[in-house]
Amino acid sequence: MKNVLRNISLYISFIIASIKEMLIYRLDCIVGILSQTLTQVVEIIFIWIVFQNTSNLAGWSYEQILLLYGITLMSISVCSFLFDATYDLGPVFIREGEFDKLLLRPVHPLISVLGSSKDFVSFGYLVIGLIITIMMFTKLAIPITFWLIIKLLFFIIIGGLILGGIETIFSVAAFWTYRSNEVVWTFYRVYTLTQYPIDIYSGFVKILITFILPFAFVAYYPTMDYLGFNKYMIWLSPIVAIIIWIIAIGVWNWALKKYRSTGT
Amino acid sequence: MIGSIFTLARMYIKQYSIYKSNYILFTINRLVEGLVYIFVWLAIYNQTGNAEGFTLNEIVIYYVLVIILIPITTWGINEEMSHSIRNGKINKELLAPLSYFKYYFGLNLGEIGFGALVGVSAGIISCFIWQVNISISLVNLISFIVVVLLGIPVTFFLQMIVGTAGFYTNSIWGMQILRKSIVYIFSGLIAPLTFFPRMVSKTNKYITI
Repeated sequence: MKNVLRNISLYISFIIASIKEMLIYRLDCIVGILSQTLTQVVEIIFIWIVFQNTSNLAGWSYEQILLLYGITLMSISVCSFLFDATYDLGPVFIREGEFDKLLLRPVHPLISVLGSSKDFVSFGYLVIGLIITIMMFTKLAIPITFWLIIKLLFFIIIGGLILGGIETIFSVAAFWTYRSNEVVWTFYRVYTLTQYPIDIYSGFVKILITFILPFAFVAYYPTMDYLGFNKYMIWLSPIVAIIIWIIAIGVWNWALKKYRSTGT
Repeated sequence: MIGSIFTLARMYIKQYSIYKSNYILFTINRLVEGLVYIFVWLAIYNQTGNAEGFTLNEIVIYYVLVIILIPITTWGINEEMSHSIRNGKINKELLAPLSYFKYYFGLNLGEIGFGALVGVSAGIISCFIWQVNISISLVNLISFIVVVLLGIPVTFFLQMIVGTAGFYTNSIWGMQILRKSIVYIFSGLIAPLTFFPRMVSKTNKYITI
């Protein structure tokens, strides 16, 4: 337990250093945040177009879909902010030889890799997600109580942790292919399936995003709870997060034993 | 000159093809992207049976074509340009006997060539998954290919505009995302342009996307 807390404290120190590093280039920060904001506008436009042609999607109204989307964005922002460095594991850390230096540190290399995350655009996701969520809670007449805020914050962080765990598992491919970006992009593509109610998908896709890659526990089941559709599945999210991270750390440690330096 | 451009294109395609996992993962990415859109429209058609006069088969074919065209319209060399500006490689590129524009046009052709390979593969797999039957005449097919080829210089110059932001910023990733978002909205990649408000169609008359 002492080891876990020490590792978490080290991770937080690395994150703070990364934030300071990214704030050196302020113009990049601002342009990145504005660009990602526009990317989300693309998704919102698609949802708007969908609802010009139907009054509901698998029983979900326009406001409910937007609420799901807003909560999804906030979970993605947590994941991007905390775990984005896995994207660079192959091309930056392993291929350029930086990973070998991390192995010499008295800290687990996963902590060092994750600690170098500096995805500033996640602030844009967080702000847009928060605005959409608050607006939709208001439109759906869901009272924003203190308990709801605590629950929302807790499950957004849990959602981010689930996403981060799955992303970390995917990034292990970098130990063999020396490239992680395409694998992580695939992960993000599969994740977009949960921006819509899972009932619209075929049986195989539902099983994939519920049991194999449990993205549905990131935002879909929590949103079902906030809307009063299903009050039970949400409580599985923390358990799923713990299981995913146990698997992620186990897979990472196994892959570390197989690691061969590129010699750069 | 054209020979040099095609040689650069071939070299770039070979570079991408070294890692077979690239091809497989990029194809999967395109398939999943199309999957989301098609499932959403399937849900709409189960509900209403119609959308702006398009039949379900037409919408599925539309998104299969989107899957094929996304790599061709959105991929490009702006990141390489920005890297070369930041790390000073641009000095060597400007001194080369081939003009800077032609050099990057060649690389862009290579990237789009690989993108076309990925797009067409993903499109063919999508046709099998969704059991789509695209019946098209030879004239229409040739016209389609000609229009796509005519679009390549347009996307290349958009890439150049974004790539030269590398003179001002440390990372052009934000500008790249901005370019892709604008292309997605105004080129009909997210939905047929007839689904958009009139303001978008009016704007489209003045921009080349």
